[in-house]
Amino acid sequence: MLETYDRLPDAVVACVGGGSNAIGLFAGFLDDEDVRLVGVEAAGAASLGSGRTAVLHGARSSVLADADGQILDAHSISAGLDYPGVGPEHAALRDSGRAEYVTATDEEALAAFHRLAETEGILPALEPAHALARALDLDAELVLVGLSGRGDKDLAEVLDH
Amino acid sequence: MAGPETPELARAAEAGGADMIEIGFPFSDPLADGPVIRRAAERALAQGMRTAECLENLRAIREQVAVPLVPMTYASLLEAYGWERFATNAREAGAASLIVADLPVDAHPELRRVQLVAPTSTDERIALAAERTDGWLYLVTVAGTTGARAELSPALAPLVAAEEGAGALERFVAQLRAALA
Repeated sequence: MLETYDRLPDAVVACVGGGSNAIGLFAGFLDDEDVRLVGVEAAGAASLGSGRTAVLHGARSSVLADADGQILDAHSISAGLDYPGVGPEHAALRDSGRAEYVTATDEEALAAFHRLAETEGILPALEPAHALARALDLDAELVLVGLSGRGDKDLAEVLDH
Repeated sequence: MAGPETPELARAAEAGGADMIEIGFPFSDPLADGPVIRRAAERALAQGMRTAECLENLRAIREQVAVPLVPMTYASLLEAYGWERFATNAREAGAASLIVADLPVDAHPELRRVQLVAPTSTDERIALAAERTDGWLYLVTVAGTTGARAELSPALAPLVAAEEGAGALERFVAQLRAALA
């Protein structure tokens, strides 16, 4: 970013399933207070948006769970986001206010896929298509979106819709 | 696994010679468990065995058998119910101790429970588990899930020796060693 634009982005946007690609991207900007960190979850798998504190797969974090601590089913058109839990660092960033977490629906992700394909000739994976969907909402001049994967693997799914 | 048939099963187990009975409180994602216990958990959850129902079940079993009863479950249930509240209510319902399969030894040291050790545990961790455990040590003998296997894991004998070295000369371990000799 610094090399190309001579400044830091106003916002950094990444899709969040388990949270690994997002935390990797956010890690470089944590201390840059003027850089907004935005994580985008699948609307049907919003661990940070709709979850509660629970313990899943060895982590105490924000999880889609019921009042008894039983884990609930998540849903997303994209496999990488279809997970009821999330890495605890994201829960901490949400709670401290350093990062904000929003959601995108299956339909919005599909629309963003088409838009990037048509305007830039890039096929994003459906996971980061969620990040793209929300990136367009941001009132910011320079936005860094993490394209966490290619969409070749999702063509069958996209063409089905 | 806790459930409508469990009191009868517990009576049968005691009559058959069980010295202690572990009662599973079902969890949706029992990572440590193989297909048999997973199916039992699914069935129990479908029967509505949530935490409160499991505690009631424990109370009912307590009235019908004399051997120690030890609920076995996963951390998420205690996180939701309240750690102290669960410990108190479980004991009050008749639990002699607790097993929480995915709770590391250093988490919630105030929660009296049976600690687990595995072939992957370091001597340091075994010593800590032995120091903190309530009554006996749970030996996870394979780097895998629960379930029947054709042979005993080769990890078992060294693991037993390590526990003895750590000072955890529990009657259970001693009996197991004698059986292997």
